[in-house]
Amino acid sequence: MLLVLPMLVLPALAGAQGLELSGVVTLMHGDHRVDAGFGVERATGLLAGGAARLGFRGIALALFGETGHLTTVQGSGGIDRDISQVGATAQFTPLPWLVLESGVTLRSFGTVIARQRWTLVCAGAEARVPLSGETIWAVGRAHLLPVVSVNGLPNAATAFDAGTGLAYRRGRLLFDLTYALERYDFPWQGSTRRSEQLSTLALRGGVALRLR
Amino acid sequence: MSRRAAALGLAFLLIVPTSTAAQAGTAELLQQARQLYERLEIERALPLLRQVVSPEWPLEVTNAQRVEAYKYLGAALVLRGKPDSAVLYFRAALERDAFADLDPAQFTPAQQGAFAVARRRTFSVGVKPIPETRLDPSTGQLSITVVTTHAAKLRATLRALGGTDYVVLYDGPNDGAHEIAWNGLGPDGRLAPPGRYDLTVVGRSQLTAQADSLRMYLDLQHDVEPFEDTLPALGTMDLLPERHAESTAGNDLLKTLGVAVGALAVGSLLANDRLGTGDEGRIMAGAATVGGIAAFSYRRAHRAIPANVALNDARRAVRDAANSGVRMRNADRVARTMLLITPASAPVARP
Repeated sequence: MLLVLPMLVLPALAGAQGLELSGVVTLMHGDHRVDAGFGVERATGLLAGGAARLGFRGIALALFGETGHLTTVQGSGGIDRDISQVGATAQFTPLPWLVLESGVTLRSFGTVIARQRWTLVCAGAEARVPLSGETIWAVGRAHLLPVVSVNGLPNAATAFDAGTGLAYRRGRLLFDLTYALERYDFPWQGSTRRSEQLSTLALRGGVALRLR
Repeated sequence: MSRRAAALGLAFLLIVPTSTAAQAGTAELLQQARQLYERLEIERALPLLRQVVSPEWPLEVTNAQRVEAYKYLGAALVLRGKPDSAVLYFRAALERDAFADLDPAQFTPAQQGAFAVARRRTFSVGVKPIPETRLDPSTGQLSITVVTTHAAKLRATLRALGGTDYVVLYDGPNDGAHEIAWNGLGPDGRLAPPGRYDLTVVGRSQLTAQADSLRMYLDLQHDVEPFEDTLPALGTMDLLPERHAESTAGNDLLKTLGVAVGALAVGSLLANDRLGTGDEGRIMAGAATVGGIAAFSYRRAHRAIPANVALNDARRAVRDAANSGVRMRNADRVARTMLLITPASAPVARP
């Protein structure tokens, strides 16, 4: 539903002036940790991807996707996995420094023995405070994830993400460096409780174009 | 108040007819004397003329009437063969009015000869009363008629009352009536400012050692279209700050340290204790700290805000251009200024 609404609005917006289209390339380091009752499994690796964002007068729609391979850290259990995710986020900027956003992410963890699909729905906010000169912004964000649907697992009991970072924009060029941590605590099942965590340090770079 | 006004009104009604009647009486007597003179009844005309110039004459006598009486007295005495006495009366007429003259159509050559002698012996200067004048200084001039009774060096100056600089309207020889002109400009060559002016005419006889001078006052007003106001100077509310405040660098550092602390807090406080966290948060914190120190150092060294400087310059340029236009239009108005000149004193006042 969150994806459909912006799609319907988009054609109308495209004819209007003041549109801003941006695209970035993403390179991130991911650290995925899972404790399913057998000790902490940890896998890290690089992910690459990109994102596109179309904004119009304080309303924006962002689409993103990343993929990469996470390698099991020596000494921890588990097996290597591929991670891929795509998502869409609708954003609303009520104040110059505040962005309210909500979105959906479809994520897949694939191993040699199985593939696990995640559907995440998030809602939260991002604060962007400019440094003097307004080319660099201090960024902080937090989201609640009320829907975390994983095949083979119950819906997560507690799920959120939070992060901070620095963003740079000069002319058409965009760069940002952000750190984010996603935490998922699943309900107790018997004597065990599954917990997962994905932390990322992402470097993004791209361009923004104003469409007239 | 009304009683006082009534008293004043009554006094006016009583005085005005008396003064008019007095003048009418003098004029009547003068007219009578002239008619007798023209009928060559000199013996009957002389007592009447003497009556007019006598200090004991009870009625009011204007200067023009007195001058007229002296002229006819002189003319009558010439006809009676008393040229020396005639000259004395002609001189009296000239002393009171340097413009006094005998019309060749009405007076004999002998009378004119006696008048010419009186002219040579008497020295006085005169200025014709200046009527209220509206003068366009770009095209017109104020014409002032001056006169000396005989050859003289004449100097006419105009000076703003209270000022020291003056305009020399004429400085040279003169004999008889002479037109001098004023173009409406002050001593500095610019349009004379509004105010009261003192016109002084000084003459020095070239025949005798006599000198004479007179002074009259003129009021000058500018008739100019109302000026447009220039735009006021741009105040602090109209301009953007052109330099960052002293505290800006510190604030930038605090913001980036906030990012660093946030990254550490996310990694330590929000992470699952069982799972722990990697180095991403610490790397982010380190990067934010380094970035903050760099931003702090940069801002300390570069406090100017070039975009605001450019915007302020543009605003100043717009204002300057607008004011330049206003000044040009006002200058046009000044160039079209008309001068209103009105006599401020009795026609001629001798200093």
